[in-house]
Amino acid sequence: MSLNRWLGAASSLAGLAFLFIVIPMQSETVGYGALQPRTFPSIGAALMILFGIAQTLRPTGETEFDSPRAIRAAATIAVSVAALIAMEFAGYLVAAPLLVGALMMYVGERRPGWLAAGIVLCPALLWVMFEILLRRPLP
Amino acid sequence: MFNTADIAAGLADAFTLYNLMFVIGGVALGQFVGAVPGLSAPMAIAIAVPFTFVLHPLTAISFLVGVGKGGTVGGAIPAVLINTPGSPEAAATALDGYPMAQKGQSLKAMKMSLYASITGDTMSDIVLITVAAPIAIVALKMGPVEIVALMVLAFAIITGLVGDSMAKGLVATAFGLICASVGLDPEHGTSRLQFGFFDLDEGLPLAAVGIGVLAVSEIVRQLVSGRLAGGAAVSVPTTDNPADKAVSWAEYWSCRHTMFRAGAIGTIVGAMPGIGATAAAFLSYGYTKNTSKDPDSFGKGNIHGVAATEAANSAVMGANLIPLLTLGIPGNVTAAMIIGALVIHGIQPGPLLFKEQGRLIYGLFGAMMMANVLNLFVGQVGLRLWAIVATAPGSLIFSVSMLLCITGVYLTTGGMFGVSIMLLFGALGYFMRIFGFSIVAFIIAFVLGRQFELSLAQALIIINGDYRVLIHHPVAIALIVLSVLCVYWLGFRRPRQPGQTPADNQPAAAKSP
Repeated sequence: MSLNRWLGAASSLAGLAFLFIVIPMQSETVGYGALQPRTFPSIGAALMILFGIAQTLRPTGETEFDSPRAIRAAATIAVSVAALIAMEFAGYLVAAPLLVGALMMYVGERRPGWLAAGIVLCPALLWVMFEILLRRPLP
Repeated sequence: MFNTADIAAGLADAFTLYNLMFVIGGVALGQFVGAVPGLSAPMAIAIAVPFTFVLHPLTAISFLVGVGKGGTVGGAIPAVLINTPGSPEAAATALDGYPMAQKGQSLKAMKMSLYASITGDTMSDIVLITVAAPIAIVALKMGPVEIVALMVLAFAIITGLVGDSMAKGLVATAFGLICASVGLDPEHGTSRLQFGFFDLDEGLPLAAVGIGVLAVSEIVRQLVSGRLAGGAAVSVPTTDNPADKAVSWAEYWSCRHTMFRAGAIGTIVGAMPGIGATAAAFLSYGYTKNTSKDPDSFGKGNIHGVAATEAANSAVMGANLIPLLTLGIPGNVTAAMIIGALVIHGIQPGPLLFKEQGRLIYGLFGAMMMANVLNLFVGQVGLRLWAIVATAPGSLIFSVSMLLCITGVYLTTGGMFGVSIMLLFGALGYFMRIFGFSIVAFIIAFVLGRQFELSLAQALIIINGDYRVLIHHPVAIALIVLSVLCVYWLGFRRPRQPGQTPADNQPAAAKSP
C-alpha cells in the first residue's frame, strides 16, 4: 500500500478517534440551542473520515517524507523544547544563546564569526530591544 | 459607507511620520526576508504579528502590509542572482532574470523587477480601493445562510486549487475546523476540547498556531535540509557598460503593455481565494511569451519576462485584500495572518468593517499607496544590500528565526503555554508539509472556524428545521451548487500534472537556499 493510501487511512482513523472518543469526552451536552457544543467539531471529524476514505480509495498528491530527515526534525523540536524548559528555570539570557548555538552547531555551522553573531549578538539585541527599549518582560 | 469625513480622517491618520516610519520598516523587513531564500513574506508576517500588538491598529496593519509588499520585491533578488527564488512567487522571475544576470545585467534585471512590482501593485491597489466598498455594500445584504454558503464555497475553491490533492486539502480543512472548536463554544459557553487547560478558554491562540504552522514548521524543514552550513559566496558576472546596470525610460515604457496585462492577471487571480501569486506569475509569463513577436527570446534573458512575472505576482497582494475586507474571507496565508492581526486588535473583518471602521480602512488604503512609493525608494537604496543578504548563511538566519518565534509568541500569549502550543503546531505543520496536507487550507479553516460555527448556528435558527425556507435564499443555494461543482471539477475532473507545485501560497514552499 502506498504512503498516500496510508495517509488517507490514518486521517480516517484520526477522524474516528475524534468523533467517538475525544469529542464526546471533551464536550458537554446541553438541552437547548440550535447547535450542540459537540456538533461543529463532529462535522470536522466526519469530514476527516470521509475524505480520508476518499484518499485511501483514490490516493492523490505528493509526499516528501524521508525518515532520517523526520528524525532530525524531531530532534530539532526536542532541542527547542529543552530550550523552553531552560528558559523557565534559567531565564532568557541563558537559554536563548544556548538554543541558537545548539541549532547552528546541529546543522553544521562551524565558522566562529557567524557562530558568535548567532550566539551572542542576536539574543543580546533581542533582549535589549524588548527588556530595555520596549519594557516587555522576557522570561 | 462613503463617508468623506472618514476618508479624510483615515488618510490623515495614514500620512503621519510615525506611520511612515513603520511602513518603511515593514517594507525593508519584507524586502530583507524576501531576499533570503527559504524565508518569505507570509512567514515574516506570522512572526511579526505578535510584535505589532503594542501598536495602533492602523500602524500595525500598515506595517504588516508593508512586509507583504516588500516581500514580493525582495523575492526576485535571489531569483535573479542565484537562480533560487527567495519566495515561491518569484520562481517565474528566475526564468529570464537569471539569464540576464549571467549576461552581466543583474542590476538591470533587479531594477526592472522592482519597477514592474510597484507598477503591478499600484494597479491592484487602485482596483481594491475602487471596488472594495461597493462589494461590501452588496455583502452587507447577506445573512447567515448566505455567509455559511460563501464560506463553504471558499473552502471548496481553496482546497481545490491549493496543493495537489483535494482529499488531503479537505482533511486539512476539517482538522482546522476541529482546532478552531477548542475553547468555550460560542453558543452555550461550555468548555470544549480543552483537556483541563483553562488557558484554552478563548481557544487556541492564533499567534501560536499561525507561527507554529507557518514559520516553525518551515524553519525546521530548512534546518534539517542539510544545505545550510558553509554556504559559499556567489559570484555574479558584471560588465562595465552603464546600460547594463540601469533600466532606461525607453525600456520601462516598452514594457508598459506587458506590465498592464500582468497587473490585470494578478489582480483577477488575487481577488479569487486560493490561487495565489505563483500561479499569477506563471500565467502572466506564459501569456506574455505566447503573445510575443519573439517567443524564442524568453528564457534567455528577455526583460519582458521579468516585467510580466513581477507585475503579476505583486498585483496579487492588493487584490487579496478584496475578499478579506469585503467578506472577511482570506484568500491566502498572508491575508489569513492579517485577519489574525485584526482580530488581535479587536477588529472583526468583513463587510461591517467599512461601516464601523471606515476611518481605519481608508487609512489602510492610504498606507498601502504610501508603501508602494516607499517600496520603490527602499528598493532603490537596498538592492545591493539585499543582494548580499541573499548569500547570508541559512544556519544563522533560521536559528535566529526560531528564537524570534519563541520570543514573539511568549510576548503575545504572556507565557510559556503559548510557546508550547506553537512548538506542538510547528511539529504538526512540519509533518503536514512533508505528507502533502495543505497548510493554507488548515490555517484558513482555523481562522474562519469560529465565525463559520456562529453563522451556522444562526442559519439553523433561521431555518428552524424547515428546509423549504432555503427557497427564499437563492444566492445561498447558488453558492452551494457552485461549491459542489468546484469539488467535482477541481477534485475529480481537473488533471493533475506530475510534479505540480504542491503548495502554491505556502511560505517558502520547497525552495532550496
